[in-house]
Amino acid sequence: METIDRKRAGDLLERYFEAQTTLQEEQLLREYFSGANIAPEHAVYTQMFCAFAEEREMLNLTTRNFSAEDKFTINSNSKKFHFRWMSIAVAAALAIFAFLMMPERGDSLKLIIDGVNVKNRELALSKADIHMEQLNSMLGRFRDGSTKQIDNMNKMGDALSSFKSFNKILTQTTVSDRLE
Amino acid sequence: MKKVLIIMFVALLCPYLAAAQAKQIHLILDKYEKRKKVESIIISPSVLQMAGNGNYDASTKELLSKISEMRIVNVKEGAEQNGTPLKIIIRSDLDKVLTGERFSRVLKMQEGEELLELFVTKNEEGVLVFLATSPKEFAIISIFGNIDKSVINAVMTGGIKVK
Repeated sequence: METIDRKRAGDLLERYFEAQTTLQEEQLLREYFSGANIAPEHAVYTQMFCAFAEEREMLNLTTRNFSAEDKFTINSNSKKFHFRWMSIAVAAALAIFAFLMMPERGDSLKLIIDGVNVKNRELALSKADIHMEQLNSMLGRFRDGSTKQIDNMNKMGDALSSFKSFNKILTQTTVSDRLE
Repeated sequence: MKKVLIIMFVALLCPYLAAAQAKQIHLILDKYEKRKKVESIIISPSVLQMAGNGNYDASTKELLSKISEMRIVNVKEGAEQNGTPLKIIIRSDLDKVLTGERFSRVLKMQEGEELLELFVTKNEEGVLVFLATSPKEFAIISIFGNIDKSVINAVMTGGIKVK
């Protein structure tokens, strides 16, 4: 590593600010500022030349050849990262799906009267109950009517059953007569 | 092979078609529920209960789990749209859906001026619709969900009540 003295550093700095330095000269300046022998009048420029040193270190780290173990660690870290985001995405998708598809969404009751949303649970329940009662009452009358009709049909069937037995006797008699 | 594919396609499509019928009923109810002289109540199954069954047992739970929603829309006498009674307009809209192939009328009961009709989707997944018409009002009581025999029986025997 080549070192430069105070004067040479001063010259190079002047050329640097006039954008006339070569890449090699800039490298010399960086080395000068990363060293311990910095002239006090140049100390103010130290930050400027060393600010990216850390980042450069990181870049050098990524470009160096990794060992198998290093590669595994980096891969597993990226896998962990992907897995974490994937799991969050899947959980979010499931939550949205469940929200959209779940038919039961709690104890909900909604009442609208004349276009106005009425937030009165008791009124909603009582109105719903009235309608269900009316419906059940009509269905009850239907059931009673059907039962009566079925009863009447059964009675008719009972009445006809005597005729059926009489008809059976007649049929048997006719058959026996024929046999004789 | 083609026939099998067509049958499979139709079989896969059936639940969606039934759901489409339920959606059509929903759309009609949505359209008219906010009109003047109209009352609308939307009830979730958790608010329903089985009549004469104080205990919330497994069979009740199973039956109520088949119901996804219940909607009641009641159109009162005097509700109009452009001079035409609203109940006639709604009935006309409903008839377009209910008289289609996907629905069957299970019950029609006329008693004096009161008429009660029950329509059910032919597929289990769908909707059950009661239309109660009287001179004073026109009520649409619809139950959405997996409408199988047990639900129809429970409704017909007055088994489902509001808590």
